[in-house]
Amino acid sequence: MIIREDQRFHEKVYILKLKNGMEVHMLPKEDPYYSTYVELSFPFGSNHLAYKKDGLIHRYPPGSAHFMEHKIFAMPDGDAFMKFSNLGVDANAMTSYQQTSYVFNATSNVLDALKLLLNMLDTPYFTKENIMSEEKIIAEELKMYLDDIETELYQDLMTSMYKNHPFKWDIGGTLESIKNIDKEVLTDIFHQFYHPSNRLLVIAGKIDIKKMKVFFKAYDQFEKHKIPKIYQVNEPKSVVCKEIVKQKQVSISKLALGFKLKSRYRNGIEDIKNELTYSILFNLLLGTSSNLYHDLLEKQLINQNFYISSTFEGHQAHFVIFSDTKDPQFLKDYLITQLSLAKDNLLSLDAFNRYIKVYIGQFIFALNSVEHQAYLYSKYYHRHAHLYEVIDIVQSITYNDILLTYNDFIKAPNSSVIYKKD
Amino acid sequence: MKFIQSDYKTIQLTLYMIDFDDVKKRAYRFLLAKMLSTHTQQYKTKQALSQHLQSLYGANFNGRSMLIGNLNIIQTSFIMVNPMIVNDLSLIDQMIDIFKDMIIGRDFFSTSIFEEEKRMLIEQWDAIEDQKGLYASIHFNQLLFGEHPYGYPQSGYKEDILAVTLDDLYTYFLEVLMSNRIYFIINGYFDGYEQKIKLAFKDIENNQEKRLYLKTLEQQQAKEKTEYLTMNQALIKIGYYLPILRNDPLYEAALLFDLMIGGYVDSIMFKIIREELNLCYDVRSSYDPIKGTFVIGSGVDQKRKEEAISKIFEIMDHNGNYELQLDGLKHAKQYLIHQIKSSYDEQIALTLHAFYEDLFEQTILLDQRIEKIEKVTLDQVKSVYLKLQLQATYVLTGDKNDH
Repeated sequence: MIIREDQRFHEKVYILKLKNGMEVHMLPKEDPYYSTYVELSFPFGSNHLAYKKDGLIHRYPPGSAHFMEHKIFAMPDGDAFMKFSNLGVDANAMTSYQQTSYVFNATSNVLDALKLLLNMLDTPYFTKENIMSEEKIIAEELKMYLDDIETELYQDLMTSMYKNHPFKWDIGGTLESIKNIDKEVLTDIFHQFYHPSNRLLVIAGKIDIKKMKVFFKAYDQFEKHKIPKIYQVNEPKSVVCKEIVKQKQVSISKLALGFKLKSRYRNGIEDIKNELTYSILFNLLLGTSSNLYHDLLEKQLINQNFYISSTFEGHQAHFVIFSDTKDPQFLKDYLITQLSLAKDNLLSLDAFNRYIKVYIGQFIFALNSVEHQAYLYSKYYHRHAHLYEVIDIVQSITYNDILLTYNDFIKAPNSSVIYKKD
Repeated sequence: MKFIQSDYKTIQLTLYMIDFDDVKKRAYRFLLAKMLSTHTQQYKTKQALSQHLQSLYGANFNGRSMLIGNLNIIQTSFIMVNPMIVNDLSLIDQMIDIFKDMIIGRDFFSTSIFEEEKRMLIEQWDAIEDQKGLYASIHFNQLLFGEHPYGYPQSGYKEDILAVTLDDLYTYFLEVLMSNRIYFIINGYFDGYEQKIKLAFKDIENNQEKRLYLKTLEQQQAKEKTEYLTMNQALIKIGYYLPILRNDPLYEAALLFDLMIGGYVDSIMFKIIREELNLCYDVRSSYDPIKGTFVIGSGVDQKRKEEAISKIFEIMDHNGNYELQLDGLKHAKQYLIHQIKSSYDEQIALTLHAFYEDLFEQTILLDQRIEKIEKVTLDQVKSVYLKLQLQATYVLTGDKNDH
């Protein structure tokens, strides 16, 4: 067992590397602590729609990773979700662009729940009937998101930005695409990507390390498997469409403005540094303490429904701005102009230094919750970094990095979607 | 003032201003919570305060008003990193200064911030149809509670917000300081600072008696309403009065009843409505032991909404096919105990427990809570069925032709 310690945050990590390739990382909390939080994740998410094997490209319909996340709970002797509940354990699962995670939180029956989780992932049970039934449930989930105007706006923006990249699909796919997900698709995903060697198990909270070590002995057997390489589609640098305007039955007009970013790095620490640098830059430009944000409020161009967000994955990234506004066209033009002039009036060294402190603070906040800690631990581990290194990466970012990144950002092509009030 | 010494990675200071609820004052209290947490006497703009909070490692400062029974509570919370982790104990002094600056001797409320907060709230009301879930909740509450204050929005209606002037709000703020119960809870690392914190707020703490009073709702004639917006699903909400309040001997039985009917994935609703009939992605029941209500909500396939409503009523019929079972009770007990135990790990939940203990003037230890849950019998849970009074059936559906 490997033990890593971080003195700054008084945190220890115990790492087991099993012969089947699965890694178990344990982040214990000191007593008194009641909960054990478990997250088992695969670096296989909604953006992984094709892989290459033996010279052939194999493709999955959009929404396949999410469908799999639902259906893997089916077991020959019943639904695993119910079994977790019967153990008094709170289970859940989620799919992101980059990974699928299965989680539970327990205050008793931890080892039974762990056994159930691993058993569930080892015994897929896909039938024509249970797949058809799941399709109806997922269709209602997708319709629920479609009834959220901001999700609809975001999805329209993604299709106007991306020609080929899976970002153009919702994580759950579409009402049409999920009809093409069948037993063969799910079985193939299971065989290619759900192998133990592709699993990371993070356990945080109340942990008996000795008992865990004994427990995982049963899984410590050699199994050979090669995870296939994800096939990356070619995505043009330009956007599909510069502007889409739709007349809509909305009470106030809405704007989504997206920038398609150049992704300079491919993996590891540099990739995370690149993402964090962009994230700090966007907050400097339009965060709640920025001059531009307060200028927009003062001019009554925005209200509380104003958000910025950025999404990064190894090969592609984007930055988006959403707002309810009475004058979407003017807001769009004003934002583009002001962002292009930002170097002189928005990117001060003082503000940069403040944001470094904010990011350190956010990191410490995240360690206060085992759920958040385990989530971040998995996310960064799949990107080849240790959670506690992230704070060093933040501190390594310089003001000059921000200025260089800004120079890249202002060259990024943009696209917008406007929902104009009828 | 309540001190909870803990080793969490953050320190949390919360201020409560407690008064008897009056619907005419809801807009005032809603806006006051915003004014107190967006700027202070020293940091006179939102931007200045935001920049100062960033320099304190991104401290989080927010304000809101909330209703608990007959009480309206303004809560402002400050959360920042544990000063020991960043080796800067002066952060505690700075936290105290912000709170003092927020209320003590304050004679400055920014006109532009006041106008901005009002504008944003009014725009939110104007755009309510764009947020289907919120629209459905507000209209369902009106149907469920009728003229009762529980049916009145937390922020007041648009007209109430428009009527508030800055002068009136400032006068009201001074009244609040004099007449509200003012109470603090601090949770986290503050070793050696207790006296300093006590001294800083001793003049502002106010022990006015504002007792929580819970009362069951009076049964009305059941009402039904269907509304149409352009949407893909049908949102169904079915509301009952349930005269079992938090101080009732059947309180734990009602919590378990809620779980067994629709509170988690092992519930009857989840198994039948979602898993067997595939009518929805999610179906939930929620029991409110303060108001005394039991509500079932789901977003369903709009072509099958009648089937969903009919099935929900079939499940809710205690003489019907879906009898509560002993096994189900065992699982629900395990799950409820797990939820309660795990909440003791969350720093924010410890503050909430302490606040509720103060409000209900009652301290129940974890072991006592577990014992009470363990003792609940299946007959007690079944008896909850008999107390339900159907009050409202609300549907918000997407039928484009009718809209």
